[in-house]
Amino acid sequence: MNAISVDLMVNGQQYCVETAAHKTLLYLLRDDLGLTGAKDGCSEGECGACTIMLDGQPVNACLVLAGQAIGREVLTIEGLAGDDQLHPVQRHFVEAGAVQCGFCGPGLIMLSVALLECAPEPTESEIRQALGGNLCRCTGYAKIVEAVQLAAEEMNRG
Amino acid sequence: MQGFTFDSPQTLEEACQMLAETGGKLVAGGTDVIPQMRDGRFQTGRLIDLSRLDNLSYVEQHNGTIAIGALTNYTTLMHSPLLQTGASVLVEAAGLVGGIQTRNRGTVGGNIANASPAGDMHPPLLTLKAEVTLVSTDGERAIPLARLLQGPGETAVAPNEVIRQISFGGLPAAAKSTFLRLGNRRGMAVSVVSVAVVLQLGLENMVEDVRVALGAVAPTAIRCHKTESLLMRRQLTDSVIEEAANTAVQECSPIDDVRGSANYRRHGVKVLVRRGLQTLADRR
Repeated sequence: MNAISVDLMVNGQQYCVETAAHKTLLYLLRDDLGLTGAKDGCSEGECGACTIMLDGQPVNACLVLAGQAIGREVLTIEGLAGDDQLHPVQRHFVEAGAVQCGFCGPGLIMLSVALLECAPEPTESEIRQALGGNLCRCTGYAKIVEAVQLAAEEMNRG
Repeated sequence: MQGFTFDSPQTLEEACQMLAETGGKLVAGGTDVIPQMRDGRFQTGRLIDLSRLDNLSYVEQHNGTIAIGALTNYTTLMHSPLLQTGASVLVEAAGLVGGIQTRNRGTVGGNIANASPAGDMHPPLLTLKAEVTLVSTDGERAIPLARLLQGPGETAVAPNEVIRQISFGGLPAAAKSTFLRLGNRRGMAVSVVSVAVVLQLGLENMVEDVRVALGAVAPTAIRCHKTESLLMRRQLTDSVIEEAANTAVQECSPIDDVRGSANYRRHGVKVLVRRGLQTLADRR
């Protein structure tokens, strides 16, 4: 097995991980760091369940090789909440009923956080367009869109 | 997906050196390479990662020529003011590729190297008459994109070459352009049919310049030279548009595949070419 040494920052903490060269960032996070929030839904970047922030940009972790993450900053769902409270997007997903089985949740929440950072007042159409890279098999998306709208409203008020 | 070493050259020269010494598979955004490796579409003993080459991500203009670094991702393309004015057809296409996550990683160089018949950058770049610059330890060469694309997954890029840059003359202010496509899903869809049109109209809607390119309906993206000849120096009426749309259908050679039938694709070409010309004719 070809080994690789990966120095990276995850959720504000520095790590040095010895892992296989063929490993993707998704499995480095899940297996080597025990951060199982990001999910493997398709292994090919079609479903968005593995969405995390890489240097502040939402990407599919299943399409980033471990070596490509060296020296970079990663934010996962585990790093989103503050010490004692959920991020508004997380809380509204829960309260609006946008979470059923929960599998798509972390990916959608990370993407929604990224969306609201660059478009604080998105229209419904803009939300649906932006979330087009993520699949949900349970909810029918209506509650997800509502959760994002409610989170946007709260974040713009505060 | 294993059995390879992973190297991240810090410069383009280093990358070319690695290719010259041992060969290898280049990877940038990974949005095509990684799924293909998983599928076993190719094997490699050495993966050469281009993602550290920050100086290959740029959109610049020199004397009316726009140059795009091969590692420029779709998000950067979409937000480039230079491209929004000088090549809006490329911006429209970039915005339709994949989803936000894939647009943050996928690169224009990768879209060319992958040479999918449905590659969304190809029809716009063909209408822009783009040239591709390739570099290796042997030197540098430029080749028109139309000659570089040779078949499904096939290009004229040699095993020791790296795509460095794509360049083309910026469109004049009087030229309008658009990109349309059909896919089986709003986001994350491989194009089933795509059309890029560049149009310049003079007095009384006379066609002064026109370029039409199609994607996903031939072994590579293609320019529709017959359609363009038909349109040149004619007044762009509804019936001329209809004639052009029908001619474009004759110029393509789609196949049946999992995403759509050849018949559906031919119909799609007719509708999208008609729609594209009409949209641009109406646009002020």
